[in-house]
Amino acid sequence: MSNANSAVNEKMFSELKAKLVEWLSLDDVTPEEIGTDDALFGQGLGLDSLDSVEIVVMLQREYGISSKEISRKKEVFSSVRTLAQYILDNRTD
Amino acid sequence: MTNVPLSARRGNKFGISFFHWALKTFGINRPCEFVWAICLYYVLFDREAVKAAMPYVRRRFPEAGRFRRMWYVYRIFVSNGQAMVICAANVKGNLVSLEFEHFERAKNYLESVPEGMIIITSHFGNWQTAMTNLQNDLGRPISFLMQPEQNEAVLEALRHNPTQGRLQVISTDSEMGGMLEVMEAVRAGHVVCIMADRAMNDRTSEVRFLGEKAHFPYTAFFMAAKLNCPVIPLFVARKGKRRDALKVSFGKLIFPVLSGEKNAAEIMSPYVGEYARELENKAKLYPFQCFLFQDVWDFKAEKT
Repeated sequence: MSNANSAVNEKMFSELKAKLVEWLSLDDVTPEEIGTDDALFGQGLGLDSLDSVEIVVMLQREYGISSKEISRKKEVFSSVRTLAQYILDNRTD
Repeated sequence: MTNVPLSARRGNKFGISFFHWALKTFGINRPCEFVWAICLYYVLFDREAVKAAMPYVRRRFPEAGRFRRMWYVYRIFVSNGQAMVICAANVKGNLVSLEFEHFERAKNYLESVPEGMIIITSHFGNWQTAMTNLQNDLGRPISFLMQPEQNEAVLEALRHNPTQGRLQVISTDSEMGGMLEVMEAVRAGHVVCIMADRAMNDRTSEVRFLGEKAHFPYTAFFMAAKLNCPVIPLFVARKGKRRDALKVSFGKLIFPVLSGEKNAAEIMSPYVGEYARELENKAKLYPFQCFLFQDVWDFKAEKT
C-alpha cells in the first residue's frame, strides 16, 4: 500500500511539473528541473502573484478543484509536493 | 527609483490630523489654500519629489522651459494635496457632488451578470473621493487592491467612512500579492479597483503615451481575461475651480482575451494601450490632475 501510494505520488509530481511548465509558459525550464520540494514562489522556481492565478485556473480546469477553497489555503502553493498532495486529497475530475 | 509613491509622505498621520482640524474649523476652502504653502516646501526642498514629477511634466509640456516646468510641478503638488483634503472633507460629511459620465456602462453590465468586474483607476484627480461614494451607486461591494503604505490618507478615508461598511482593502503585501483575493472578490460579485498606472514588477506592456514608448502594468487586464470579466477605466477630475464638485468619467468596457502564441505582455499590449490613450486624453484635459510620479518611460522592471 505504501509503495502504491508512493507510486501515485511520484506520478502526480511528474504530471504536475509538466502542467506547470505548460500552463505557466516556462520556456526555460523543463519539468525534470523542477524540484519537488523547491519553493514555487519567490526563490526556487521564482513564480509571481499572477502565476498563482494561473495555477488556480489550472487546478480548476484540470482537476476540478474549487478555486474558492484553494484560494484560502495558500500554504498549499509552497511546493510541487504540497500542491500535489492537495490535488490528490481534493480532486473531483 | 523607490516604488513608494510620494503621495504616501504627504498623507502621513500628522498631516491628516492637521487637515481634519482645519476642515472642522474653517470648512473646505481654507485648508485647500493651506496646501499651497505646504507644497511650496516640497517643490523647493524635496528634490526627489520634483524629480519624480518631471518625466510627466517634460512630456506633457514639451515646450516649457526650466522655471515653467517647476511651476507646473508645483501646481501638480498642490492639486494632489487638495485632492486629499477634499477626500477628507467628504469623509467628514462635507459631501462632494459627483457628476457621472457614461456611468451606465458599468451599471448596465453589473445588472446583467452576478459576477463582478474590475475598475482600473489612476493616480489622477480625486479618485479616492469617488471611490468612497461609488459603491452605493453601483450596488456592489467594492474592494481595492493597494499597497498598504501607498497612501495612509486613502486608507484612513476608506476605513473611517461610516457610510461605506462594505469597502475592503486587498493588500498587495499579502501572499500571492492579493491576486487570489481579487479573483474571489470578482467571482463573488464585487467590483475590484486596481491601479493601472504604476507598475510594481516586470508584468508590464509597452505602449505609446504622450508621444513616447512607456510601460504600464497589465495585471488588471490579465486578471480580467482569466476571470472573463471586463475592465473599465475610471477617471475622476475636479470640475473647474469648484472644490466640491467632481466629474466621474467611465471609459469604455474592455474585454481582454488571452490567446495566441505571443507572451502575456504582447497579448495585453492593445488593452493597456486603450487605457493609456484614455489617460492621455484626460491628461490633456486636466494636466495638473495627473499625479504620475513614476517614470513610465524609463521603467526599470524588477521581478517580484
